[in-house]
Amino acid sequence: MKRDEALELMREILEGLRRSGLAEAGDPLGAETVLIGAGAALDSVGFVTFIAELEDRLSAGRREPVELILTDVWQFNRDDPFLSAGVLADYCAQEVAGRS
Amino acid sequence: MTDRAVMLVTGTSRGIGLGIAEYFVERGYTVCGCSRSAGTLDSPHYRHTVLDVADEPAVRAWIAAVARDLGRIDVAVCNAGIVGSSLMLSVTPTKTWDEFATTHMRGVFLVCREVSKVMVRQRGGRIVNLSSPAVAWHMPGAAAYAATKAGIEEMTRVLAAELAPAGVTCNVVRPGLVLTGTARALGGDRAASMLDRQTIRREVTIEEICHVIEFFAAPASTAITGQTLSMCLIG
Repeated sequence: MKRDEALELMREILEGLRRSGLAEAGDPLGAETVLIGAGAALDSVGFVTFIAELEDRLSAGRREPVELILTDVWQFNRDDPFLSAGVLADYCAQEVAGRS
Repeated sequence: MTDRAVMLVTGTSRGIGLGIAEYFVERGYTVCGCSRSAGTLDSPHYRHTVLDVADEPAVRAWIAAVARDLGRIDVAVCNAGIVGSSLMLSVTPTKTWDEFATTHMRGVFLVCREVSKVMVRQRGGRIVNLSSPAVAWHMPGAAAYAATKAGIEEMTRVLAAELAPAGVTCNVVRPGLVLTGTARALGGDRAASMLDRQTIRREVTIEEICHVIEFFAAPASTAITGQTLSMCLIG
């Protein structure tokens, strides 16, 4: 999986949440979209839903399920949590690389 | 998929967990239980998985399979626990502490984490965690047991706050003394001493515990979350 594919997957998930009323309407997801932190596109429950859905989609068809460990994400500062879609996409691409 | 409500229960091979599974199967639930040993309940509405609740990949796979196969999880009951160790804290081996922390806190943490992802997405569900009256007794020799059970209670309250916007309630049952086979192994004097600490000085039955779980799981209990209900004890 490449970064752009991960971003596209996240874009689909966010749009799905918006259609279901689980996230507020807004701009399409891009690399700069904030997922955690000031101005985030999702509230806390929306974020949990987003991550659970992302884990499921990344795991689909693979032998081992993919777990997103946020504290392993590069640039994730646990003292002042901030996460952008681009950074998460990089992490997803790295996590999935080489998996069957 | 099933038209019966789906309940997940940990530690169902014997004792309280087995009783909970039997009770709710009879009341129309499909119960999915687990334990480290083989299942002992034979019912078309019960399905057993052998696993250790502290085994992260196994817990993830179990809960994902239940959600996928049955379509949802309505209630999760974290019951699995261990008893034993009557040693004063000063001489409690680290290994003993780790055993309690692993089964009680790590086990409940993993099950709650995974089941909460399912319940948040279905926008509703009930989590009921079992604690112990030992949390309130301050009994010498129970430091590891009571501290890790107290940890479960606080974990449940925090989870209740986090999941309230998703319509998921999280509560704790703190049963009175139940003399299951494991508890009996601690000895009669110890059991008598425990009963003396209760306001209502008798054992509780598993059915009485199930009644409290049923209350938390009831459709009319959507406004009750973050609560600990003590049986046989004031407070």
